[in-house]
Amino acid sequence: MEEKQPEYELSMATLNGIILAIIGILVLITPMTTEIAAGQLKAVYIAGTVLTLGGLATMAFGLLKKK
Amino acid sequence: MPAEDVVRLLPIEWMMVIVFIAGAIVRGLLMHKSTGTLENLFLAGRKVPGFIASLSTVATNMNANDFIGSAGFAYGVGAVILHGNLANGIALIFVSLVVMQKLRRISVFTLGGWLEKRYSPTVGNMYTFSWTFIWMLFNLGLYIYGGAFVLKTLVGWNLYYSIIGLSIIAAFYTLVGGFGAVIASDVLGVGLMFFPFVFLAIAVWSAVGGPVELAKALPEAERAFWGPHTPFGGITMAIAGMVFMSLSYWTSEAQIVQRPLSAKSEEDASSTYLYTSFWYTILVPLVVTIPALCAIKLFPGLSNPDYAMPSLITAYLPRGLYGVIVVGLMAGVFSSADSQINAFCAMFTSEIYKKIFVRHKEKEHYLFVSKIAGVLFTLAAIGTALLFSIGSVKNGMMLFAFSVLATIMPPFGAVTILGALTDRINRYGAVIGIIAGIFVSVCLIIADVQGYLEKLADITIYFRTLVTFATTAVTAVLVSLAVPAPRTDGVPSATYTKITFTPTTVRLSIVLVAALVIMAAIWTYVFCIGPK
Repeated sequence: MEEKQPEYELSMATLNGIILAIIGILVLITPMTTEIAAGQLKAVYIAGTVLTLGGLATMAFGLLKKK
Repeated sequence: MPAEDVVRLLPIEWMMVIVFIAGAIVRGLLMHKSTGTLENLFLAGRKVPGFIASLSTVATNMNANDFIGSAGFAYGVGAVILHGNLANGIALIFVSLVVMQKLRRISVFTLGGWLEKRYSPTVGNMYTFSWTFIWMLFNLGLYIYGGAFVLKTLVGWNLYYSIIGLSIIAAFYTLVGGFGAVIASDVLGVGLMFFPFVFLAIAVWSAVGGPVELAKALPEAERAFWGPHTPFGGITMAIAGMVFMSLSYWTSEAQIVQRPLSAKSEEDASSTYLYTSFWYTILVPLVVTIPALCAIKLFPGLSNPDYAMPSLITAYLPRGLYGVIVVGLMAGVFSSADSQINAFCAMFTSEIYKKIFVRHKEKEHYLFVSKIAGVLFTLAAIGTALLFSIGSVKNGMMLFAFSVLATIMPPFGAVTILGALTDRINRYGAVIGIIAGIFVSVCLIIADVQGYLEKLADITIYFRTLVTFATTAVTAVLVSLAVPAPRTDGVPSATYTKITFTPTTVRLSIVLVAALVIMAAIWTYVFCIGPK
């Protein structure tokens, strides 16, 4: 018997982007909450920025794709 | 700082963990509406692009056990383990071009379904029952135990609470959101897993002064990349064993094979493994294996090799990123556990329950049964993980996992590859080949435990893999040749054995082969030529 398939949409980019961006922001504000060695600060800021921007880009991709 | 000194999470790092877990639960709830059929529940409607399926493949395969356990393995055996990364690349290209498009060609839910159509229900059931009730239960238990062990080591979380908590969260979003939620979780997980390890690798490489300086500092035994003697026996046997173990793994591991099966076309099924190969050939050695070798210099004489990576993390990763790596390792546990649970539900419901016990029921019935089965499987896996925690895995998680893998996978890997290569192999050959392979692999374990294989190698996993694979393949060929006609049953045999090369797969394969050659040359220079 032919079965009608519900439409399946693989669009979880928005949610994943939100999670990435929040984690990135939390990484960025970590130096304000605890002491981090000067030599390691750069890595923390780079990582936080990349995660935040990556998250925002993923979120934007998800939203645009849905439209 | 040695890994035994536990670092507690900061409140802000706890917030990262909470955001990640909340995201996983929301994802499951959001995807729930898309799980109305078995095909959507188990294979995301077969609409997954090859590249996304490859990310999911990497996330499924890489878990805490791999980041921590494989680092421990490298710490224990030295540079020779880099051949394993190259072997994975070779195996992935071969399986991609020869096997995967054929599995995807016939719209089955699992490898068991393909073996049934290619050979007979007996062969399909041998695989399905072995995986469902033995390997998957063991494997999920090990995944969860490995993840909980890592979290205990890194942040001091209670082992038993972690086992139960990780299992419940993974089971919830998998059973509620289906394969779509699994894929979405995997894509996020692979980024979160690798991202902090890139920063860790840079810090660790800087600490030792680069790869050549690392090679100079390593003891001769650990530096030997092409040395004639390895902990796995002679170099030829070790490399051949690695290739055949990789072939067996990428061909027969249920939750991994599900990724190309979910791909939207045959070409995407092939490219799933080709994209995956890039990670294993290039990225994994750079961010996991080489840093683990650095730990030989930075943290010599660790009591358990599995402490190698945690020692590097606690010593070289700044706060903030420490939280990300904990989230990444949790993502690793989830991405492996969710896939295992989903694959179990798919195999049990479509290959056992629906075919053997209750046929011709409405789809709602099978969807309900699959979820009940998933809950019971998760509970059983929690029990298995707790057993591991009581017994402890003294020689490292990865070696333990490989040892079991070397026993169960080569027979099924051999008949799948032969079945895809030629239509001359028939069901009689497949059944007797599998029985012979499993018999030999069990005999080899007994011989190993009794110490009869000591003269061949310190670590016998690759020798056992080779002998088991060869026994299965030779038996299957000889028995098939002794029986006149292969079974077709109305399905043209070309469906199973015809290979199609598309421009995309050819281009990807060429680039990959070049990458393999370059990486082999780099490791040869770093470990053999550079230090002189």
